[in-house]
Amino acid sequence: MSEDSRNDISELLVAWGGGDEAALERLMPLVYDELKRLAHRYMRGERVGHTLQTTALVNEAYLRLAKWKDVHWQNRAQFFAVSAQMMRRILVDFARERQYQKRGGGALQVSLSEAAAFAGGPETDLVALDEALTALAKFDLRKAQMVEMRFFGGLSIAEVADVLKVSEETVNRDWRLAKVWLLRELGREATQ
Amino acid sequence: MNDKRWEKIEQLYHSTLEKDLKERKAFLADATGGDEELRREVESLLAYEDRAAQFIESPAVEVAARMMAENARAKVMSGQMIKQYKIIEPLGAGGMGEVYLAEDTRLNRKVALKFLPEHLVEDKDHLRRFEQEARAVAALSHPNVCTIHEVIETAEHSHCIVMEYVDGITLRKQISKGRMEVSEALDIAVQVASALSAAHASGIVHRDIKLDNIMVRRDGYVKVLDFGLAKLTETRAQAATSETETRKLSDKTTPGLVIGTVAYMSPEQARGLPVDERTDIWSLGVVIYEIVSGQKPFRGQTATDVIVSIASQEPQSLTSLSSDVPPRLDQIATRALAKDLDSRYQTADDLLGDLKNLRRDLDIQSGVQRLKPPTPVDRTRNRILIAVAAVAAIVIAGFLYSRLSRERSTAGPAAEVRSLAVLPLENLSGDASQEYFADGMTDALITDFAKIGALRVISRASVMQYKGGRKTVQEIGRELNVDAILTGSVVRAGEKVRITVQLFQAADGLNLWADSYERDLRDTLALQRDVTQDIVGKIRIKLTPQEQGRIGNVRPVNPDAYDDYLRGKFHLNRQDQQSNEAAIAALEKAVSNDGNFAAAHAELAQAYVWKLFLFAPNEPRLAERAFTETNKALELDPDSAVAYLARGRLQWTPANLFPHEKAIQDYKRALELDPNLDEARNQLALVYSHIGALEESLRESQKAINTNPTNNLAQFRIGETLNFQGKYEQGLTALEGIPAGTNPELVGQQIVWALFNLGRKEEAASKLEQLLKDHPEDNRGLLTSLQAILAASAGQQQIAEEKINLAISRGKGFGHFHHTTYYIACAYSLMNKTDKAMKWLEATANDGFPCYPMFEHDANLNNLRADSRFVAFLEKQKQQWQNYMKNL
Repeated sequence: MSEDSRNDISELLVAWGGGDEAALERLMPLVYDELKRLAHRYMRGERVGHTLQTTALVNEAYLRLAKWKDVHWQNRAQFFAVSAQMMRRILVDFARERQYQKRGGGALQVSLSEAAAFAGGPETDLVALDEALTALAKFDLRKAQMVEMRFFGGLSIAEVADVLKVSEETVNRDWRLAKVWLLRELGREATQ
Repeated sequence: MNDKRWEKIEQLYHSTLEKDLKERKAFLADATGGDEELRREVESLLAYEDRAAQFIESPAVEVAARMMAENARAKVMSGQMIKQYKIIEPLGAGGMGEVYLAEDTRLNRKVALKFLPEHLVEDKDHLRRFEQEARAVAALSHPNVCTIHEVIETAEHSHCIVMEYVDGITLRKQISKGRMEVSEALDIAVQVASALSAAHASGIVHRDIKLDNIMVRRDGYVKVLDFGLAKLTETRAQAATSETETRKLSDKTTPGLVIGTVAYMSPEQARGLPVDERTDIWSLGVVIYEIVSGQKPFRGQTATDVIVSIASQEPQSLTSLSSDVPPRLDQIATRALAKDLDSRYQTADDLLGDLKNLRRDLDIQSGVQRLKPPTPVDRTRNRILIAVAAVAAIVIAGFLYSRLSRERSTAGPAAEVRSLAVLPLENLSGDASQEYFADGMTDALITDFAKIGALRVISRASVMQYKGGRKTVQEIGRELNVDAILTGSVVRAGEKVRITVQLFQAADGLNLWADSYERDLRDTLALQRDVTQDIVGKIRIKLTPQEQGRIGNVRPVNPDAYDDYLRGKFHLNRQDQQSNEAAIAALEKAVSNDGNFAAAHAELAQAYVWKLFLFAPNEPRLAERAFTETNKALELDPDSAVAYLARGRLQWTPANLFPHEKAIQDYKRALELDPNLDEARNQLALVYSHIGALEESLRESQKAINTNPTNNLAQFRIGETLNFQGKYEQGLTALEGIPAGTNPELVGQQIVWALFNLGRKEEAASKLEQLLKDHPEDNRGLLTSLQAILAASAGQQQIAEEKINLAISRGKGFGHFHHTTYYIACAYSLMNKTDKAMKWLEATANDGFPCYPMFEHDANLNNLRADSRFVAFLEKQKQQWQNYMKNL
């Protein structure tokens, strides 16, 4: 990612956090560029896993932002929350679009077991997860936010604890329960 | 969810987790103090603990990137070869990976390839167990089990399951229109139960029976998919016992595994308890309930609600949901859905027995004779009969079958059918190498119907796209805009052939008529005639006496010759050199076995013509042989459309000085006899465009495309003809719409011509440069002559002259040199060299390209227009053109 685009991300996030919906539209291509870069590495067979977490998009953006004196973020927590929301919106839209394209071409000829949705891993259905997360937020907002920050925002347990002002132990426990609840919820698609 | 309740669940969840695995159950029972629902809730969450370890641990951006990467990988694949499998098109995707339709080029059959996501096959133990199970499934060889052929490793370290391609729709799709009739639902349930019974007997539990895993083929056969796939998603904890599980059902799966869609899970499965074959019985119970009533027995807003419902609620009785459900079916469903394992059906066989008895009793009650779909048992029986060629038995069976069909058909309404699509007949011989036979029969029926003037029949090319069978009769009817659709199947065994056909009204999918025909192979032509005549009678079409003659006129054929004939036609449909040779070999054999077989002579002529024009222009005596076959065919059958087409093509050559009118006559006759012969339309459009009948040419090409949407040659002809008309903008659009890779040299030079005439000279030059890079030989000199035009228009006279000379030396020997000479004439005109321009212009018109309307308006000839020779030339061309037009 170029210097410029990082600055752009910070600026656009500020705008979006301030209620400017159009800023999301402009953030999208920047996130997509990052996606493409990662996708290329997958195509070449590189294992991206952990290197990604340390260079996670939002973390990079945050580091850039921290050097900016004139940005009106109320606090670090707000920034993390906004950037995680942004990633959620963009990535879920991306996944939804992709599903639509795939299914638009005709009905599924051979149906496949949805069992893999339970297995996590790279096949996690972002659209279904997004819906499940919305359901979770209705009765346990903190856990939902936690998942949003951790999964969509790429924050570590420690960072989440810091942002939410709770102990790491609490984050660990919440994270664990949220995950099983969500996993079970992912079967919901087929129940209606 | 209630906050307090959720807090309680949370507390219990964590405190139970702290306990040792063995103590958890007792602890939880104690801690919930008799609150069953609470206990189940926590239990079901705990069941996911194992699988949650990796869940959403890597960031979403990584998941999305991986998705993008897989997407890109998938895009690369269409058209690729993986081992002997040629990828045709994607069929869909799901949690287990992408599925593609492919052709097994070695066994000449269609297969489905399912690419497993890497993370599922990373664990080699999983993979090995899955392969083991797949082999066990393959060994079942049950007609209702979708067969796994093999598991292969592809180059990118990903794995792929090669399985039977099922030509049909999922049960989910099937009931999306609404619930099923009881009899229809029973047929499906019987077939699924039969599949389960066979699998269980071999120690295989499916564990994920649901609507999406059950497919219904167009002919009514049910196929259960994804047997064995559960092996890939087991957690490590289950691995230890699953080895023995395949062999011995009594070894229960370890607790903790939760697989499958919640709605179809058995109570024990939802709670992560051990499962055995009875879990499949439950799931089939859910399926039966759903297809009969149109709703699921256990429902809820969230997965949790559904699980609670599964564990604690009794479903509404089927009889209360729908008045036509017999109480006995309700009893069967209730017993399959017994929460208590011991009250449930103990074996799929028991369930199957009850379903079958009920079906038989209902049939007797209503007096309905069942025609379709056959049960697996019936089918097996048929196969055995055929295999031993028990002729008498077949004849009796066939007689009964067709008698029953007729009884039924008399009840159907008489239909107003003026257009018809014959879908590819299915090859039920159980032998993929017999595909050509079913295809050939389809062709023959289409050709027969096409002879009827009052009936519009969809061409072979257009119906072949439905071979995938993913669409309903109504959908196909809409897409092809037809009144009726004919479907069917062919079984061929030894010297016997049987065709079963069904006629559907397209508007509502109503079955108008069904019948089955069985004959000796030597009477195949008579069989086709009978099918045609019966349908014609049914749809009340009046035939002219001539048409009656054409359809009724059949004679016995030599079975071997007929077989070779169908084989030859099959190969002839694929235009590569190898197939062309195979077609010629088969057809030569056909005519040597049966010298009076008109259609075989005609197809052989056609095969020679293709060889002559595409692969072996210089082979001596090929044209002569083609002529001999054509004449022989026409002698035997003066109504052979294919023979007229072949004759037209053989005549319209440079050596014969392009006899336009004769060729037109032959093509017209061919089209009269078979309006669907789009190749004849291509040829007719070609001749028309050369003699300046440009509107007529466009019309024929458009008709050719209507008949066969994949006819790229017709699309090219439209672009070219629009250019001849001076409509370069439209011409360019048409040419650019041709799929890339279709004869790039031919299409490209017309694009260059359009660009040049639109004044987009730089684009024209760079496109031309690219074309010459790709085709440096330019053996017609056409590209080089275009270079001359570009140079001439840029005032580079010397270069233009050089290119002209080069074009002449390159293209001189080429038959269709007249396009090149026209470009040369234009180049000279642009250079104001009137003498030379006139010489080449006359050559163009005299050598087969007298395109008066083009000469009349083409601005590239403007420098000649004041010259008296040009005025005289144009006048002469005009008169000739008017003559042509008069006689069209």
